[in-house]
Amino acid sequence: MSSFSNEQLNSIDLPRVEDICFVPIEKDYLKILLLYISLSNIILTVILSAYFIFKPFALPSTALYSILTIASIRIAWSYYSTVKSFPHKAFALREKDIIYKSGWLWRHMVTAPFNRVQHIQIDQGVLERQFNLSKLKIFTAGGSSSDITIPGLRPEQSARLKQFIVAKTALDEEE
Amino acid sequence: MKKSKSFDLSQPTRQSYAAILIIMYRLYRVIIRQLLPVAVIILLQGKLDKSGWFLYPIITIAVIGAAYSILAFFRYYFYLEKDKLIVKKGVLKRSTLEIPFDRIQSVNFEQNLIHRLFSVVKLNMDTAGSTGNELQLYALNRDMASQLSELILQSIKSKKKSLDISENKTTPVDSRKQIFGLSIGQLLKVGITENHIRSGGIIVFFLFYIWDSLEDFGVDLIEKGEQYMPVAQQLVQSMAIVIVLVILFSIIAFTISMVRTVLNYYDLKMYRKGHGFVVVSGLLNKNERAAKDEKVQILKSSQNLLQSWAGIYELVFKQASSAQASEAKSIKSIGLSKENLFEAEAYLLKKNHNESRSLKMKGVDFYFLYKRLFYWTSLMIALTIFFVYNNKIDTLVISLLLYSLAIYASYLAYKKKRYAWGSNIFRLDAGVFGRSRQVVENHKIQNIHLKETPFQRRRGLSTVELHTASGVLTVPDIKRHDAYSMKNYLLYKVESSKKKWM
Repeated sequence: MSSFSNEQLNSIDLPRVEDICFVPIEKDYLKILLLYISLSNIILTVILSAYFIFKPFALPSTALYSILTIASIRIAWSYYSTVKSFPHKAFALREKDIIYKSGWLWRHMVTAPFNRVQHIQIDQGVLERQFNLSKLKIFTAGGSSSDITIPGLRPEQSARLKQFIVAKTALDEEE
Repeated sequence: MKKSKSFDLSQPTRQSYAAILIIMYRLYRVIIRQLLPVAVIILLQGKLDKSGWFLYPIITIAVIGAAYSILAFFRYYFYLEKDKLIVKKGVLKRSTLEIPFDRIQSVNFEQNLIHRLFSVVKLNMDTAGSTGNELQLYALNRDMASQLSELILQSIKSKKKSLDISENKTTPVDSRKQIFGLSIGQLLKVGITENHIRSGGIIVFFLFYIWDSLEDFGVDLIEKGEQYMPVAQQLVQSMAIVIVLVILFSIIAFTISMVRTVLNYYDLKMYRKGHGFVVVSGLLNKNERAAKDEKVQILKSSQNLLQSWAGIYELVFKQASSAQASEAKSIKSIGLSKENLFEAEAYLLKKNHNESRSLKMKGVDFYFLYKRLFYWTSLMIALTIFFVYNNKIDTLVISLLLYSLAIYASYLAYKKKRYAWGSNIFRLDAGVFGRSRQVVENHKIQNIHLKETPFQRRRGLSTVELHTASGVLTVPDIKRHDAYSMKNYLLYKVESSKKKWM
């Protein structure tokens, strides 16, 4: 029972994922990310300083220097890469699917067709509430590793997106 | 259909009395497993005196276990109410389970030795939900079991019918057609061509398990071992002993694979039943597993090196499940010929099955091999420096041999990694010494991931992951242009398809 008959399609005529105009997520989300990173960096710094203040056990100086170098590179890199990769976080809504891309060096793009969406969830953490942001989670049956999470959306925007997708899935089931 | 006896299942019913034995058996097995390390310790330390004090706790535990099993049996009822199966159970804490029929995904029968003695069956019901949501009726009279499963499946079917138009009505539900049966000769073939390295792994794991348990109980093996060390060193230094050990290990590994094969696959039969497949097998535990066509997401056929010499295949139906592609949801059939494979594929893919063979397979980019060569070579250079520095030339020779094996394996993996997409089917071939082939119908794809590492980007490459409800198909290192056109095409296929993925 296939109602589709135009099997032979020139792949050039197909809707192309690469031509899409992506919508960046809210800039405020970068603040949340930086806050989280600062928190983990502060913990790292506290542990390191605690060692230098109390010196509970002795370490050879080469080991100390390399630990310090690695730690400072890590801290600098965490800020740099977060800021660099932030503009790459963007999503696009199409007629029949939703796309989310992320990553600066390691790029990642997920596309979930609406007719495979199982359910949708909106999450808001403590920090996100402060910045009036939310996360949209889209679940398909493809397993937990394949679920889409779009962070940094205004709650209204998430709600609208959710409604839109739910309406689309409902429409799909009716047919 | 003839019914030998009809049961009123709307009344609260107990299981067959054989369930007492089975509950007891399960309970004892758990207890014994827990106490095994202790028993090993007691034996090892030689504290087993002749007074027989140790018998009393064992008897006490056994009696309590028996009493518990009997209680559990008498407190376990099930009955049907409208479209629900209701189970009441619990010895100390009473609980009631309600399972609507339409939540039941499949009903499987199972028989182990005890079941066979009393001619009862165990009923496994998978529900749509996370793992651990399965319901088991330990022992049911065979007629009652088939009546129950018939009722449940009938009710699901009648509900589905009203929704599903694509159902093919030509095949009657009860007709069973055997696609494949495993004869004794073929069974031996299957056993001989098993992956013996894996069986060897089981021995190693078992030894580790014992070791671990002993250490938990304070037996320090290393300390004990050191007492024997001088002797052991002498032994290991003599090459003959090493060879004997290797041979012994191989024989044990081989025996384990043979025994496992016979236990698991004795009298294996694969049937086509209604719109699904049934695989029955097992010597002591007779397993019956069923897979509905619409639930099968990925069809995987494979051969290891030995199997390809013997010309037999393994076939796995990967079914949709929330806990991705767990063993229990994959149904495996083994020892098939190429023709059997064709037949199963033809049933499952219907008119599309020819497509999977006529597809033009494409290879992956050379970077796939380059990456591996790079890893292994850098590792080898580091090892060479280390071994030369420490003057361990014999170890260096062995690692050089392993290195060339790794390179050869990488080359084979590169050559055998092939993919293709057609208007209805996606196919992914892979393998190192053996080979495997996975086929998925396009409309069963759930979502598509596209990934790029910085190294891939420099070469204009991407990795595509096709996520289905029973696992991921990864196409690594292909030209970005190809990746995009594949993604666009498959998305178009998924989005324009009216077929249900399950």
